[in-house]
Amino acid sequence: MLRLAARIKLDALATADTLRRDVAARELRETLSGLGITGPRRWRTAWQYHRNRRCTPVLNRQLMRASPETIMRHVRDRVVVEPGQHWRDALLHPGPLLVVTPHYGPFTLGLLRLCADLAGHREVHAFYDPPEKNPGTANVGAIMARCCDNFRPVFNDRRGVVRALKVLRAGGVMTIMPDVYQVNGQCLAVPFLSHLSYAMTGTAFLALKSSALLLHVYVQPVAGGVCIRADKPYAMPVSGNDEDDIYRQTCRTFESLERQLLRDPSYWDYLPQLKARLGMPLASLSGDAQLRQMIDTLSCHLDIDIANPEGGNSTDEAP
Amino acid sequence: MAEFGEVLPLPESLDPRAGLLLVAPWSSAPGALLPPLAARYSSLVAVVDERYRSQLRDSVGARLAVVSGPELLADCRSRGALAPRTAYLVFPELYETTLHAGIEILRAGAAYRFSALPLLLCMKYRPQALRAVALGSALGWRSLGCCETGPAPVGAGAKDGEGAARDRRLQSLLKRQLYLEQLELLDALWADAAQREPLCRRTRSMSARRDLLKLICLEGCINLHRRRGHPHGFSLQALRQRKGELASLAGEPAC
Repeated sequence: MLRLAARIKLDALATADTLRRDVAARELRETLSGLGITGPRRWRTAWQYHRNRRCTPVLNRQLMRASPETIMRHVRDRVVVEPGQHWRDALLHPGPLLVVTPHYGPFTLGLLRLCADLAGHREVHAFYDPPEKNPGTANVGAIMARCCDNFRPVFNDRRGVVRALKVLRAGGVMTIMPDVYQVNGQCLAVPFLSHLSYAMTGTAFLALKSSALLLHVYVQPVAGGVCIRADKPYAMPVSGNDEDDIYRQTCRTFESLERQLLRDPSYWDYLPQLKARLGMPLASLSGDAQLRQMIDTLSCHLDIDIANPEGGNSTDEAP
Repeated sequence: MAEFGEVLPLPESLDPRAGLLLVAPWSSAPGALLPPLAARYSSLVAVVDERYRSQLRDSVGARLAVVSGPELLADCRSRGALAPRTAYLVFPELYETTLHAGIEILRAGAAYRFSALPLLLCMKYRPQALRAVALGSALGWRSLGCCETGPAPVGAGAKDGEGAARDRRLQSLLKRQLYLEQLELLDALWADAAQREPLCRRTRSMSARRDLLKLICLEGCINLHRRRGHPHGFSLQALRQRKGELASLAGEPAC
């Protein structure tokens, strides 16, 4: 959708961003090195990241200006899904569907495609921060509401979680973005990019409580348009131990995100903040003795007694 | 200490051509500190969040720049020093601290947590530094003596041996100067309920957040242990109960 002059300007700005010598630029380079991306590929990835960040507001402005008909024509013609079978299987699923995507690439176009494919059949509920909490979401909400009759926002607050659960239990379609986190009671530490990383349990909680089918998707620009890459949809395995199931599902969600980031990290909005969410390196916990020692040290620091008087088996009870 | 009736003039011994670091308590009238600085320094930088910009600007007008802690550190790193002819005003009580970036003081059975930003700046960039202290009903200045401690920044070629030992001594000295004096401030605040409650709430919230991060790591380690196929033998009931309590404390508005 971009004209040549706009593309040249974006390229120049991205180049300037990449060559900056400030802390943010250095941290981004360090993050990429931590992902094993070095040498010329690191510069290319950093440039691509900056270009993508510069593109997002331009794309949003264009989507705000263009007519709904033009936008939906563009979505139908230029937004493709691979593999289509995974997408079709998920959309034809008659029960609840949870579409999971990080803040990755032009995800608004992915959401428009989802709404377009389900238009006339099902509503698409999107779970995200209200504009008061994250002003950037106001644009997305306005674009979606203008273009799609079947789009329904569900804001991420206490009432929103209840509503999301209600929608899914009624067999609805919900999109959710699991890559934001807050340090609170719903935060877990899961393996991610060779570290224990902070992650929210909301996606797993909704899937568990609604038995929704899960579909992980990543929206990425490709030559001539945009591609939605869809993982194979799956139902969350349930053991009867809620805490354990939620932990395992959160791990699985982050395994999927990790695979995508190792393929191409440059489209992830939160790439520069990656360092902040990574806790202990897994290498320091690789042996059972090391892990046990860390558990003892932390429980001692926190002055918390976690010894199981029964010994041996878990007392991790389902709530 | 809540309302500073008078702010005493800066010491004459200061060189106005060099940068100055001023470590001050966050009072209900932080702007009172600014006019004496404005008279001596061509530029003023207050290290606070954006939300306090207008409150401080009212005191000295457009000459005041407001930056956040990370922005100041980034600027210092790129410049290699604090800017000359500039007074930087930092408030250790004001900033939320991360797991490793705070200094904790126990007072009246409660843990108060303060930012180590001034300590870091003193150690790395050796500015002229003054700490604001209460002198009766007025606010006076006490030198932190950073310039007299030697020209080499801490850590520059002093990883071990005599240099490292000197740096450790210096760090210990500065910590004492900066933070034991904080006790005086706490005593003064303790007498003022209006000031005390926000400070209690903020430091309590910061301490809870730090413990919550540790607890989440502990839970992560236990889950990892179990994931590797070990029957973990841990009771998680106490952990979950503590997690709820800490989450509630950490979620209090930080004012």
